[in-house]
Amino acid sequence: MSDTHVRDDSARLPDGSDPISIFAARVLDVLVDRSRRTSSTLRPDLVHALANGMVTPDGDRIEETLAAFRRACISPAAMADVYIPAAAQQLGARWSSDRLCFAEVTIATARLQALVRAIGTRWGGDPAHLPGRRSVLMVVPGVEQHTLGAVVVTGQMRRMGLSVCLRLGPDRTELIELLRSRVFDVAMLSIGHDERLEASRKLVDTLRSFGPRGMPILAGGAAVAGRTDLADRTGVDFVTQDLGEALALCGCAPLVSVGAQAPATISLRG
Amino acid sequence: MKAIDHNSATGGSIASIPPDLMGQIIATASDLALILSADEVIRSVLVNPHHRSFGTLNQWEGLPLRKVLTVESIGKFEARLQELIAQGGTRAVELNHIDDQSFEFPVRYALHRFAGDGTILMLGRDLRPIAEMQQQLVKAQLALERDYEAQREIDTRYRVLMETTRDAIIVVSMTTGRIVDLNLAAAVLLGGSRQDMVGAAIAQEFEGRRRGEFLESMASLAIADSSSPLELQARRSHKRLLVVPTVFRAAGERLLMCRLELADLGDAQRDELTENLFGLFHEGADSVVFADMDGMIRSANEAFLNLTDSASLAAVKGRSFGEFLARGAVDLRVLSDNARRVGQMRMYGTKVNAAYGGQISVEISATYLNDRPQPFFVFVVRDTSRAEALRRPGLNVTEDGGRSIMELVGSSTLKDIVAETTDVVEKMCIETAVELTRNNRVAAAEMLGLSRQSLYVKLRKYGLVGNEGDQP
Repeated sequence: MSDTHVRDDSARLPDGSDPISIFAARVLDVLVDRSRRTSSTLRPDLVHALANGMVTPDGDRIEETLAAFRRACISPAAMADVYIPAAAQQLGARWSSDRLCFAEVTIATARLQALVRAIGTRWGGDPAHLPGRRSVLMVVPGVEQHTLGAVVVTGQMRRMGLSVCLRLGPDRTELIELLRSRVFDVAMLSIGHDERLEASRKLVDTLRSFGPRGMPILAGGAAVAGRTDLADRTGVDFVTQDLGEALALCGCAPLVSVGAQAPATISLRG
Repeated sequence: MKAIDHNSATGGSIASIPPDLMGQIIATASDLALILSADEVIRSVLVNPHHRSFGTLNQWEGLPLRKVLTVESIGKFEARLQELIAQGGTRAVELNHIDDQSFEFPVRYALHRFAGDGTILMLGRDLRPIAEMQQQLVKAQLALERDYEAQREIDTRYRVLMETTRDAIIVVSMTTGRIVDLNLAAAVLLGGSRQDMVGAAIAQEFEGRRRGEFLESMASLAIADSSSPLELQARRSHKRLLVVPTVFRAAGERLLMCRLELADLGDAQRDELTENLFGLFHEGADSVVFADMDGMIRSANEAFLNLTDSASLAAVKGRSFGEFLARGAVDLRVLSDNARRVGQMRMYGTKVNAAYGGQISVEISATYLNDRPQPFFVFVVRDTSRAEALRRPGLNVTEDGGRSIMELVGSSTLKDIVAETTDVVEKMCIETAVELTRNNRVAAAEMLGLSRQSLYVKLRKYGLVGNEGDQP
C-alpha cells in the first residue's frame, strides 16, 4: 500500500483521518448510489449467462457467472427471486424455438433449482428467538412437473419471516396427517398446468375438510396467467401471481422487511 | 404416395432410386415420417416397420397436421415452417403429438420442403425413451426436494436444541478424530469460535493428547460406564474441563458425543473479562471483524455474517473485508491507512453490500492492534440505516465528514480542492479496477474506458506501478 501522493500532514483531522480521502469517498458514495439506482433493473446479459451456465455443466462457468452476479452487486435473494425465474423462462423459450431439447430444459431447470437451494441454505423462517410467526402451507399438486416456482416463493416467504411448510405432490393421507398435526394460517397451491385442474380441486377439498375452519386457500403459478375461471374450477378463495397481494389478501403481512427488492417484483409463475 | 423430386443437391445416382424403394428408405431411415401437402394436410404416414410401437397411424392420413399436435406444438411447427420457407435448407423441430388411441408423445422432426409443389417431408425420431428418462428425472428431483424439506425441519429442531441448551456439546467422528459439530457453549469453553472449530482435530484442542490416545480413552470411558469423567486442559482457553463421552453410530459413522463441564468453577471468575468479551463477540448487536494487514478477514462474528448474508465464517474468511463494502478497496484503504497512522479511526460512514439486495448504511470504527508480531485490524461495523432514514437525502455527510469538509474549505481554494479530490477519486477508481481484474492491466484499462497507455501513465502518476504482486 505505497502512497507516493504525499500530502501535508497538517491537513489531517485530529483523529488522524485524511479529509480529502474521506471527502472523495463520500463523492464516490454518491456516484455509487446513483449507479445502483439504475442497476436495479433486470440485466438480460446476466439472465442469459445464467441460463447458459445451467445448460452446460461446466463448474468453472457457473462459478464465473456467480462471480458476475457478485460484481454486479446482485444479492442471492434477488438472484433467486428475479434472475432464476427469468432464466427458467428463457430456457422454456429456447425449447419453443427448438434451440433446446425438452430433456435439456428439464435438466437445466433442475440445476437452477439446485442453485436456489445452494444460495438459500440460511433462509429460515423459524428462528428460535422469534416464535409465534404466521405459518403457511405451500402445496404443489402431484401431477405438476415443475416445482421451481414453488421453491422460489417458499424461499421468499421464509426470508420474510414466515414459517413455511413446503409439500411436493403429497398424497391425501399424508396431507390429512399434516393438517391434523399442525395449524396453518394459510394454504397455497402452485399450479403450472391448467389441463390438470381436477387434482387441484381434490386437494382443495381435502384442505377445506381437514384444515382449520376459515383458512384461506390461494392459488398461483403459470396456470393462473390469462385465466379467470381458475378459482371456480379449483375451489380456492383467491387466485394471484403476486406474492405481496397473496399475503395481503389473507392477512399475512410479512413480519420482516425484505429490503429494496420488495415483493412487488415477485410472481408465482411456475 | 407421391414420387419425390430429389434432383437438387444429392442428385446423381440417388435420382435413379425408384419411388417405391424411396418410400421404404424414408420409412426405415426414421421412426416416423410424414408427408404433408402445401396446405399442411397429412398425405402419407410412414411408420418404420422395425419400430412398430406407434401402431400404424393410418388414421392420420387426410387430417390437417394441427389436429394431431398439442396446442403449444402447433405454434412451434408454424414458426419453423415459416423459417424453412423463407430461408430454405432444413429445420429441426420437437413436436408433441396427441392421438385418440395413445397419450401425448414427443417426436423430433427434420423438416424438408420441396421447392416445386411445397410438399413437406417430416422425418421423425421417436423421443419417448428420452421422455421416459425425463420423467424419471422429474420424479427423482421431487423425491430429493421432499427429502430436503424433511431434513430442513429436523435441522431446525436440532439447531434450536444445540443453541439453547446450556450444556457444552461436541460431536466428533471416531474415524477422523475431527469435530463434526459443536455448540456455542462448547466453543466458548474451548476458547475458539464455532466456525473455526468445526473440522478441527479434537485431540489438538486439549493439551498433551495425541489423536489415537484421545479417541481410545474416550471410547473406553464411554463403554466402561464409569461415573468419573476425564479431566483435560483446553489448549486455547487453558481451562480445565471435565469431558463426559458417549459413543454412538449414525448411518455407519461412529461418532463420539462429548459433554464438557468446567472442572474448576473458580476459573470462570478469574476469566470474567474474556468470558464477557466472548459473549459480546458472539451475541453482540454490532459486527466485529478481525483482518490481517492486507485486509483479509481472519475472523468475524455472527452479526457480521447476518449483516452480509454469509452462510458461515468459511464463506468470509480469507476474503478481503473490502469486498463487503460499497466502495470496495477504496473504503478498506481509507480505513486501514488512517487506522495504521494513529492506531484507530472512528465513525467512518459507508455502506455494506448486504443481504436482500440492498445496501445497509453503516459506521465503521477501525482499530490497529500493533502490540504483536503480526499486527492486525479490528473493524466494528454498526448498522446506521435507521438513523440514516432520518437524515436529509443527498450527500450523507456525517458529523465527521462535515468537519472534514470545513477543514478543507478553510485551508484551500475551491480549484485546489476539486483538483485534489479528482486525483484521489481517480486513484481510488484505478486501484479498484486493478484489484477487481486481479491486476490484469488490459482488463482494467477496458473497465475504466482508458487506453492501455493512459492507464500506465496514470498508474505511474499515482505511484501504483511496482506494488507488491504487480506484473511487469
